[in-house]
Amino acid sequence: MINEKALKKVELKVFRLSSNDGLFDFFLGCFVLMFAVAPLLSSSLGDFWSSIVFLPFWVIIYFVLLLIKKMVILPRTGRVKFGESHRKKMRKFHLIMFITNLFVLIIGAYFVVTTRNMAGWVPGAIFGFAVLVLSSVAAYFFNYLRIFIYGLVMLLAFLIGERLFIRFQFSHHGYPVAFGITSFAIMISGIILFIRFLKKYPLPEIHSEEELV
Amino acid sequence: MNKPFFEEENLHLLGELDPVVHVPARLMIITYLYVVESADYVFLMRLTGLSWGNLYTHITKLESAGYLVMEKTFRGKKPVTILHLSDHGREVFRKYKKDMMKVLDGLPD
Repeated sequence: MINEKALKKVELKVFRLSSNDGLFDFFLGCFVLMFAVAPLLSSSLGDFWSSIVFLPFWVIIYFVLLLIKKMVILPRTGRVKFGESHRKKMRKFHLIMFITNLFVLIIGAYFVVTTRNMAGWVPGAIFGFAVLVLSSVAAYFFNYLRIFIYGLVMLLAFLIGERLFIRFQFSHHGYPVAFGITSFAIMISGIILFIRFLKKYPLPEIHSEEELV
Repeated sequence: MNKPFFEEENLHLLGELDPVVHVPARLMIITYLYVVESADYVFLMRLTGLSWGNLYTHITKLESAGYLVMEKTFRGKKPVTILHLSDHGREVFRKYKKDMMKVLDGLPD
């Protein structure tokens, strides 16, 4: 029946068609890669520059993915302009993400400043928990369970990394291994989604839109 | 006195439903366009699963009823057809939705 709930589902289907192509996942995987590689670079570049050095890498990846979206995705799915209700939802999402980020930052800063002799795993756990909260908010808004799973895996990566460091003396708190695997897994998930997308949506047999013009 | 399963006058609304909208394919098109501002032809084809020609037939019917607006434009050198519901189309869909809910809500499980 066409009630409001059903219309929300229709809107969700529209959103999924326009966004479930794996590009976001691949980009997220590239982002997580920073946690694996930055610790390795920090001894030579320092903590700040070892993170900053990733900015151009992300910019390049971002533009490459944008190009893929334009050249590969959009000809297959077509384009849509969302209505006011979706725009309202996105504004709400951005506001909640901003507030959550701020809250997490304050809580994190409070812990760091007030807790002395903090165990090595605590800052990672705080950060991992913050990532989990943010990913949960995003998963709820977009109704993508896998975003929550990514957050959970990242929290585990922080904890497993520390465990590898304490138990097996892995270098750099075990982050290169734990986040290397996490980043690889997220990127692979993105690539699988992308391949599935290409299979599901081949280029449409366009009898030429000129017929319609 | 027991309340009837459904009000008879509500059932009569079925006969008054807009025949242009009350066709599965067209209802699907109009529902998708109702939740967005606009979509191009390919996007609508993907969403509905209708073939190029089939979609075109239904779209022209909706357009000639004044429910849908087709804007022909160019993206680079490629012609693109952008579709959106007219204000009248939105109003018609809202009425259709209301009438259908009125009829179906009154029916027993």
